[in-house]
Amino acid sequence: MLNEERIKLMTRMASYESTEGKKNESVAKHFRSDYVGLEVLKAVICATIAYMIAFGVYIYYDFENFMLNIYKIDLWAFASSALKKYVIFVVCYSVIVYIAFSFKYSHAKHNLKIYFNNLKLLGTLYVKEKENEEDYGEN
Amino acid sequence: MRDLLVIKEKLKKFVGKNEVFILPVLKFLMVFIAMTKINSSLGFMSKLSNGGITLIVALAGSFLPLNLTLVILALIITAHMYKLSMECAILVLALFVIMFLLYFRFASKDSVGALLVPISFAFKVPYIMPVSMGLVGGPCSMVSVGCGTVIYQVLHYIAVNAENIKGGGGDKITEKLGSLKAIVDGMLENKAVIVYAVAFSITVLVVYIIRRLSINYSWFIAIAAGSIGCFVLVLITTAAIHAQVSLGGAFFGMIISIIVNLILQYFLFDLDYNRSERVQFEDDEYYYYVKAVPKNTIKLGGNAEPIRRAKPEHVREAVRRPAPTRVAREESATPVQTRARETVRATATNAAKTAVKRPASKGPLGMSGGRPAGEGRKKD
Repeated sequence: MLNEERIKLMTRMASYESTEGKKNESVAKHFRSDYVGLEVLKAVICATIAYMIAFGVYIYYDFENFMLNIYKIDLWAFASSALKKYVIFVVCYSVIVYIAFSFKYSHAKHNLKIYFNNLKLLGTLYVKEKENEEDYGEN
Repeated sequence: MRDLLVIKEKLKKFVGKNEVFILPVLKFLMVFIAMTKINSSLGFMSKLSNGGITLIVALAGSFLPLNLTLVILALIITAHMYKLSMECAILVLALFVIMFLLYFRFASKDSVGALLVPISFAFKVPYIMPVSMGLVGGPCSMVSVGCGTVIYQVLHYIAVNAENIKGGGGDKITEKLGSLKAIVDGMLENKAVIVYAVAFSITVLVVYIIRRLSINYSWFIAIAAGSIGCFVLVLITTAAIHAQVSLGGAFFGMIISIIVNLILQYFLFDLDYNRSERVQFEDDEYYYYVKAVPKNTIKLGGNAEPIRRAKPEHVREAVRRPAPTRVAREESATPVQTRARETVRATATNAAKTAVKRPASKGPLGMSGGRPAGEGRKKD
């Protein structure tokens, strides 16, 4: 016999599984520190590449001036200044990524908790339905 | 109002029923418009500018993920730039790669903002987008709106100065490098980028924060505050950095933004605040303070016509049946009812006779106490 409440619950759960569920499951497989740490590591790599590209474009932009003054400028100071900017940029970006992915992890965990609660509820509905059927059978 | 609700419900029903077809068609249109605009303003590579390529890319975009479509469009733009000058191609490619690496890697859902903002700029209605993205997106949308603004302004600068850029690039390496410096310096002089990027990003955040507040009419307030705030921000930043931004355009943009976003709000978040309820309850772990606001909806029947709310049975009966005439009442009366009526009539006749015979009795102060004869209780 069709149970409307059960069908609604199952539809909602199937919809979740097919959209956010897959992503959330892969997120929740890890410990919080592992997941966020991995994402921050990726962020550091991406930020490094992005900084290198921006630095390359900057050098290309000012190449003429740079080549003319290459023997006059303090290369050590120039390199340390570039490195400082790199560190500031990477740290800022990593902090933003850390916050964003911590929030994402919490969100995924929360959604999965709701999903598992719904699973329990579904199990309860099945048990109730079975008991009802048995009662009718006896009567 | 009721007709509008019916139209909305019909539209929602239609979209829900044909979502499989409508979404690809919308994506196709979006990519087609983007490609047409790219070709019309940056069509330096004739092989990519023909209609066939446009159609193929739009068709591919209709079923590919939006992020991949964005990558394809970025590559097409870079190819056009390469045909114009190597420096422009390097600059634009660097810009795209940095954006993809830093932002779209972890906020892929908002990539639609980066695509729609340049399109809205091309149609001269950019002020709609920050408010819309604040309504439907999240706080991360401010970055996608900012990225879209920067992309459009850079491409617009290159499209406007294409002739100068082409003439500036010579064979000698110094001339080419000088060309890149000139392009970047020219872009940095265009302070409108800063005005738009700052105003739009802050607007997205303001709209998002206000529409999430637990107050009545939060979406209305967010739309009004966002649109007016965006206009004020443009005014302030323009005055502060002496940028060249059309303030008349900003004012009309604000009005258009309010109108378009109110329509968007009507379809996405139309609530009836008069019927809102506040309830409190608890379970083992929490105490809940819930505010429930019903949506403004109307139920449609199978023939897509609104279902009228059923009245209670006794009200419907009363409406349908006319009041019985006296003859009909007497015909349908039971013997007990007939006898009761006869008794009432006889009593009334006797009372009238008695009143005619007896003089009107005086009250204690000599005033008439009883009713005059013939003005007794009216007959049934």
